[in-house]
Amino acid sequence: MLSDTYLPFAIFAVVSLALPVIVFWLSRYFRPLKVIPKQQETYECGEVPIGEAKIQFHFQYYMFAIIFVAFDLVSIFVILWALVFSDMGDIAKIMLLSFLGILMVGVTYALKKEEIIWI
Amino acid sequence: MAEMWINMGPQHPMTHGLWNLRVKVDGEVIVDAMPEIGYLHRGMEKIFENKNYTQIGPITDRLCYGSSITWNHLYCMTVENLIGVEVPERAKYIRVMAIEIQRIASHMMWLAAYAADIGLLAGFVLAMRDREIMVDLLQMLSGSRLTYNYSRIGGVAADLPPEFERDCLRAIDFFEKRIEEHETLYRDSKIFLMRSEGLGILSREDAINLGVTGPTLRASNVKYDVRKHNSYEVYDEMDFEVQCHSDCDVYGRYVVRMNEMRESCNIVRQALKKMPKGPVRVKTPMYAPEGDAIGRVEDPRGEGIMYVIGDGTDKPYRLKVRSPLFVTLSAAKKMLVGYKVADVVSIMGSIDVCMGETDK
Amino acid sequence: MDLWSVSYDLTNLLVDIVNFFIYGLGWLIPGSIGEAFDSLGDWLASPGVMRIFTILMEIILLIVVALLNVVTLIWIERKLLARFWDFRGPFYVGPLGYFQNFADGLKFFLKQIITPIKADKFSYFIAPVIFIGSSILILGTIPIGPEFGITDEGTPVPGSVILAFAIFAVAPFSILVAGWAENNKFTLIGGMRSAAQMMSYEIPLLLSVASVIVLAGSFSFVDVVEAQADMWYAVPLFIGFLVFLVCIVAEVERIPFDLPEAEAELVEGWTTEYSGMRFGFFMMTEYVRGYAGCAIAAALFLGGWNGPAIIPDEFWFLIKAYMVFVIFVWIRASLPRIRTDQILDLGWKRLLPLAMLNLVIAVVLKTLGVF
Repeated sequence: MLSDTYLPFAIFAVVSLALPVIVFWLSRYFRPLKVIPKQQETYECGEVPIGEAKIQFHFQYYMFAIIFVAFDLVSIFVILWALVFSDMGDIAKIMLLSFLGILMVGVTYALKKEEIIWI
Repeated sequence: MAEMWINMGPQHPMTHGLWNLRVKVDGEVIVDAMPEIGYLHRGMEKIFENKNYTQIGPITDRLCYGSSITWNHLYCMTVENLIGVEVPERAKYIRVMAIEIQRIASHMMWLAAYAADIGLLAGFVLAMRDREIMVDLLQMLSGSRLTYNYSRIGGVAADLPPEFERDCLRAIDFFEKRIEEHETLYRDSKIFLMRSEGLGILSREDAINLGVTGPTLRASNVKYDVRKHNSYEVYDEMDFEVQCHSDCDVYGRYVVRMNEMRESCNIVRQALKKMPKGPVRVKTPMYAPEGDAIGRVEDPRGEGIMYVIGDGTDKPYRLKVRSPLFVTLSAAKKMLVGYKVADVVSIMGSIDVCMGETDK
Repeated sequence: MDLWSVSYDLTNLLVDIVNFFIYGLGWLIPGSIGEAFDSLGDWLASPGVMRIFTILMEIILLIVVALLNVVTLIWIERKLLARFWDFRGPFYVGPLGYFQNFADGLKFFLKQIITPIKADKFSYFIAPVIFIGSSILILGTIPIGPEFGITDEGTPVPGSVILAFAIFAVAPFSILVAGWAENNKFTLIGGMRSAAQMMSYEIPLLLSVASVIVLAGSFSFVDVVEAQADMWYAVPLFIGFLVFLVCIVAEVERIPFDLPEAEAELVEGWTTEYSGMRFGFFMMTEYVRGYAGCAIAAALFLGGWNGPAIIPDEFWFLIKAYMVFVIFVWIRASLPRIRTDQILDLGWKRLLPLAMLNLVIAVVLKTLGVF
């Protein structure tokens, strides 16, 4: 069963998430706790911040993000294909390679075109 | 899309001192920039008016911690012009030599700071190590390591120590080999070229119009050097090339500074070779006459000018300092707009910021 | 060393000692309370509970070993960087300054933790927990020796390669959340850079791993390493190894790819508003990730624990991982930091075609029957 196979790993996940929490909580008994209001201000190199930081940020790598989403799914597929590689027929092997080739052409086109679009 | 102003400074690793560069960014691209100075203002020019001529000398050292001999010498030269004394020939040669050693030390400090800016910590440590060679030479000359107070009105503080000539020649030879090592660390590094080529372009016209001087101007392909074109001390007897570069970018400024260090090594050699025997200092009166005088030098960071008005007492009526970086910083917007936030450090690092002289 | 049997013996010993007292109490106290103690002892010694405790013991042992390695790596980096840069590095605390890191950790432990008033409290707290927790979790997937890993009664967890990379990829999200939660402009830019950086290196990384899996035909680190008994994959898949090294440096955010931190540009990047033990943990976590990256490189490409039997297998593995780390330090000592758009260009225009080429090489080798 899945839960049985991955039980050690589940326990590890709980332990590793608990570790930082426990250490932060423990350090509470050793560190100074007195907070003065000046300390809690946002750090912006010692000046008063101009405006908020929670704004609509202009994410300039948007085009890359879109290609990335497409390619990330493909890479998962490639890894699974690699796992069963020796059990597959020749056509299945060639099909995926040619699929990757087509994707490469697409990426090349996107990057060429995108030099005008991006940023 | 929202744009935001970011305060880079006064407490920012990029600033090398105490100033504030406000950049307006859209995403990571800079759309506006505004340098703001004055955090280190010490009222130097007012202090000068309340001290007598001898007392001002050590204070001028504090104008720029990176190249104090240059500013100290500029002050002495200006006052000598006002009083009208002729400095002994040997003192002139010693001054030229000391200034050039200081120029190398200053450029090495720039190299270190710039390397740390772009994340190359090896460059920082190694450049600081090799700056030490020059600082040691200056320590032999003057006894101190940061603010030397070596020039005096009417000459220099002391003659060369024994064996100085031999040590200096050795150090210069050794240093020239070290410069080659540094070049391999930068010139041959693809990532360094990616971080410096084509960045912070300041065109020839803009550089001239904004009054930029020094290596930044020469990297914009203007062949202008006060040492050559308005020669002072004995620079007209020295044989050296004015370095300039046609790229107008950060890499050009790097090349200009590296080549200037080599030229400075040559000048030091020539000065040691041509140096005559004789006294190094003449007596000067305590009281300056009425009138005014001007002095211009080529600081490692640009053209430094001092203008002094004497009123017949032992104190100057007015001593005006023209600091090169005060002017160069005004070109910040021209250089920054259109590049990325990551390039701010590279571009601002390339003009060798020293806040001491900018804020006075 | 067989981690399962060692931890089983240790747990057995501990349970025996505890049960000695429990049964003793049950013998001393008459009546139903005594019987309850007896049944508690029986419950503790039952196989299901013993299994859980043994796994816990395994985890503790593994984390201790890994953290010792991490501390050693930090020390190696400090010493090596010092040698690269002409000074001596730490040498006051302990032999050759080995305990300097413990002193630093203690200092961070005693420092005040400041929460900015404008920060989003919940995400501000949860982001470092996820970052640190997921980084430590990677260590659980990597076996140091053939039997020195998280196992369940001797059988290792299947699919550990894919698990390792899945957990590796969690960190950029926590960085993004942290950068936003701190409500600071520098951290915001740092978090966004982290996302952009992940987009650039993730695909070539996975493709170079896929080439290894084509040759080995398994998702398990143990099988991949066993398949390299004759030849390391770094030899036929040399291009893939280089791509993997570059990508793993980007994955663990070291110079020249430490864009989210970029201390000269963004003060301290996304960690700017974190202080005290949180910051200390971030520093340590970077090296935990560095160690995990080196270990994965050693396992996938350098033959893992295969080596002449003059020293134990685990030491072969660690030696290889340390060698990879020395390369990391060397890179850090000699290269400046690159820019966000440049890493995107590098990832998509250079590394991706190379990774594709490498995949084709792997396919050809496998089809020809070389492996």
